[in-house]
Amino acid sequence: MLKHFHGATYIERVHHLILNENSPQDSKQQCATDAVSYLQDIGFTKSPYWDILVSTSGMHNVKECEEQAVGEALAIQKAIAHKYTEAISTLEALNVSPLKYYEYLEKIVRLLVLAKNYKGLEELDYRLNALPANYDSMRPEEIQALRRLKLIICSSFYLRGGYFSCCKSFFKLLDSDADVLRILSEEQPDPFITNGEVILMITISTILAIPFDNYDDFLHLQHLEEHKQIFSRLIDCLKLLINTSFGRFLDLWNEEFDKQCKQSMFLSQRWSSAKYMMRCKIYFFYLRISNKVEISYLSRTLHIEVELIEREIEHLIKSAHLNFELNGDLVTYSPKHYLQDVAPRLKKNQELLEKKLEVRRLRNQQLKDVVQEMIVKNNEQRVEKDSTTNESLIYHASRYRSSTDNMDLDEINDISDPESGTFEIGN
Amino acid sequence: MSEDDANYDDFMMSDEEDMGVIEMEDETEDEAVNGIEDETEDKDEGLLEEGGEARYEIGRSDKCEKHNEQFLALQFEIAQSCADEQDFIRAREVYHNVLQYAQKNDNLVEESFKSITEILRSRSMEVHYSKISEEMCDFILHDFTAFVDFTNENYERIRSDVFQETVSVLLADLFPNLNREFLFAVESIDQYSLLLKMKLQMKCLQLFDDNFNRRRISLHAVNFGKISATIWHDRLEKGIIDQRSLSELQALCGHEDSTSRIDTICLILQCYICNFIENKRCCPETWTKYVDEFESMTASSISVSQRLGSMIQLHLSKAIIILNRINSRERGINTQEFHHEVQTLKSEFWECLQHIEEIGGSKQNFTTAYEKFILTGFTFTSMILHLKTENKINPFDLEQIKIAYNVPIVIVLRKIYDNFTALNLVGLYNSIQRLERLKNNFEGVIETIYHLAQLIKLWTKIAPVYSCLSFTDVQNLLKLDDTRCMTRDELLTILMKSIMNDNADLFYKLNLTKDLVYFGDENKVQLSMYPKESFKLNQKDTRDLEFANNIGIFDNPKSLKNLTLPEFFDSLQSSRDNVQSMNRNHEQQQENLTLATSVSTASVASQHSTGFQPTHMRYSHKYNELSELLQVKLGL
Repeated sequence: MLKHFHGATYIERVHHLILNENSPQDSKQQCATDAVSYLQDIGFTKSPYWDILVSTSGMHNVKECEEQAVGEALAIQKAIAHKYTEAISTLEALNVSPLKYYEYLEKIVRLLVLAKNYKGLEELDYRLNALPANYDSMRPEEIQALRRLKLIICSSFYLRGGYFSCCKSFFKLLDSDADVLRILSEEQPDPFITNGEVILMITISTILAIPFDNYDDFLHLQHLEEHKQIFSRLIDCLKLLINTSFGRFLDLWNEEFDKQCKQSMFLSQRWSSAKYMMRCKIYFFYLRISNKVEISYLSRTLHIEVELIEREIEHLIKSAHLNFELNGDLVTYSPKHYLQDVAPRLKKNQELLEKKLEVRRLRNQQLKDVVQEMIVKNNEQRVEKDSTTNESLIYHASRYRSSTDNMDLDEINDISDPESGTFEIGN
Repeated sequence: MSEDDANYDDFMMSDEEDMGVIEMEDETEDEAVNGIEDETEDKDEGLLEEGGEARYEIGRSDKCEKHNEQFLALQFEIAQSCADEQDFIRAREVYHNVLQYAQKNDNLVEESFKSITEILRSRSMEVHYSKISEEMCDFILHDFTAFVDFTNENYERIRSDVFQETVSVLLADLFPNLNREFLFAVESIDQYSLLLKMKLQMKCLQLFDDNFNRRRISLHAVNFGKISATIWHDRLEKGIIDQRSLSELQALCGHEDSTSRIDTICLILQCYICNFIENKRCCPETWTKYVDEFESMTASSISVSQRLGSMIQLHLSKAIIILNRINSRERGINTQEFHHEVQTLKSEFWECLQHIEEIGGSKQNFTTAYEKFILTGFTFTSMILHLKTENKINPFDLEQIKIAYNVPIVIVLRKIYDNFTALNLVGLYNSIQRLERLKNNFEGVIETIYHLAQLIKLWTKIAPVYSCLSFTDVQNLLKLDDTRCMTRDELLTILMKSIMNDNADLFYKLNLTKDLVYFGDENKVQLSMYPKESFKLNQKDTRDLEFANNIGIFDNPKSLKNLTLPEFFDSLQSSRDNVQSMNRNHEQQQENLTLATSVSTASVASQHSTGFQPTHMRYSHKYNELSELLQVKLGL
């Protein structure tokens, strides 16, 4: 079991198998034992999974070792140790014959996928597209390596949740180079992502990414008709969906697909989100065509538990701001005005503004009163002082000026009131 | 050897007895004939007696060999002239005498061979001029046995090239290829005599094969004749052609020259046509190979295309191939491909209709199975295309069919056609039931017709008229028959598929709690309150947009038919990236021209609610954000 894999891929797969609760205990033990002896054979046991491998295998007193390696063997060791950057730089330091360029590149791509370095993959993909390879002058091994490389890049879209990009890039690749499919039916000597896994990824991605309305169009595309046997499962699923047999589709999806996806270390990374997305896609289709629908009805037709549907529909309505309401068992269409949410908030804002205005008005009133009072006072004083000396008149004049100066200062202070909201909003 | 001799004697004896009887008849007949014939008669008899005497003379003395040769040549000439005048009995008598004489002289093998061959040839000519009877079959079998026994015994003494030549000519005379009869059109043939012939052919050729196979003489004519006799025999007796004989025939098709290859291929085509029409036996993929080959033969050679019935065979075969495909495929009635296929099928049936007369069928009464088949196929394909074609020609107005206005099958088909165009579903179902056996050949096509009629009725007669209907009401309106009521699930499937396929002409909404369906534009509603920008602008998490796209919240339902693979994905990509709702009017018009499953009402936007987004809505999420921001500022 898993013996046909090598290097880091092998160890990662064994680890995944051990973690998978569905795999039988004896095969877990068997695989762990094999993996331990494999690590010992290559003389490098510094895998982060070492302890779990040893404990699952049930062996005791296992010898650890770390032999010095060079070149590719060193890169394998680094990859096993999850030191992907170092592994890649080790590979990059090697002197590669241009005749084996793509085979070498394939190794790097594998490491990038294991390291989940999607940025790096993107760059690589960009470079590959920018420099189209000339198949005529290449060795057949190189052509195969390039094709595998491109398939891995397609699969990497699935791994980061880009389902549409995954199926798009795959089918475009198929369109430009139909021989890619041959790879998918051939045994690989040193497999990384298996053929079955690639096909499954594409199947899942296609089902997720293509709109319901276009399934039928997709089914009648030339290429699909030509390669029926490879896409048989995809075709079956699409036919079920086209005929709106959602229940039967979901049964297949939740049993056959589920089992295979959980087994695979690559597919399992995205499987739960994919499942959720597909359910939402189907819920949304029902919402699209109906005014009123019961959760229990959906549960019956789609064979999904009521609680799960309820939770997911509620989340869907909320996150996508759908015009639907969930009332107990019933989902109803309830159109909201687009300002419905805004209105109460605007009202509150209005209240706040009015409050502020009131405060301002009060202050103004007070100020007015003060000024009024001062004018009255001044007049009274002038009448008083007119009868006194001229010198005192000059004094008063200068005093008056200074008091108006003070007032100006106050007004400025008022305007630059840091609490003033209007000022800021005006900005 | 001794046994053979005994047999031979028996045969000679019996033959002589028979001849005696016939001779008496002959004489009475001869008296009635005119004088000139009487003269030759006398002359013949004279010579014959002479021959009888001469036989003994020559038997005794070897001197006059030269005289012998002359004598035999004369005898052959006499027999030949008798045969030419259709006096086969007399001719055979002469041959028998020659044979007896020659056998007495061992060195006259060639003459014996010739006479025994000529006996059989005269039989074949007799069959040709008169009706075959069981009695005659027995005679021929008898003679043929004698021929086989003789040649078998003296094989080494006959020159092989003479043997080959004679045998093939003889077999071709005795058992000619049936170029004027067709397996699928046996109604106009004299079935009884053909069956007798075929039985005889089977027996004789089997006998021949049994005796000469071990000598490694395997003639194509023998093999082909044997198989074709079996096939015809099966066809006439059982009505069906065995798969075994078919595969033998196909094996034979591998190695042979071109002229006989045409015969074989024609027969293969006929077998399949017959099996399909009579028994609804589906044809395997391999069949298309022969049809293609035959087509290229007819295209390249006038003699093949002018051959009797070759055009009807070709078009019928092609029609059956397409029909098979349509019958077996799942109903994807909206695809361009389907439309195209039905169109081709219709034109094939049309070709067949025009060639019916060629093979002697149809005095314009459409009574035979294959004529009915062709006519039904033509009517059905016209029905399916009825709403999609511009010029709606009623097939029953066509000259070829109009002429048979009151023929039963035409009446039935016309009723079907009228019910379909009037969208009378119950009537349509009942009238199709009256087709009886023919129905089997068109199973898939009939289902498509039902489905199409229901769909058209739903969107042209029901949806525009009612604003709200219960599911049961719709089911009742769409039912074909009490036994074929549409289930709730089927109705839902039709409704849902109409949305998916973009052929729902009107907006509708379902109330799945009360099982109601509402039709009308007021059901064109917006599903999401927020515009697509809100997802797009959410820079932190681009996955939201991906999610919304995958689920299809902002999908503009649009048809992506007849695109190449890259085009398909590019247009999907652009509709995913595109934030604003597109104006689909232009696109839609194009679509309507090409597929238009339904009548002109299709111009009512079939774009569904999801894509609908008034402009002021485009910033609805902004209003919310702004007011929120304001509140925060004010609250400080």
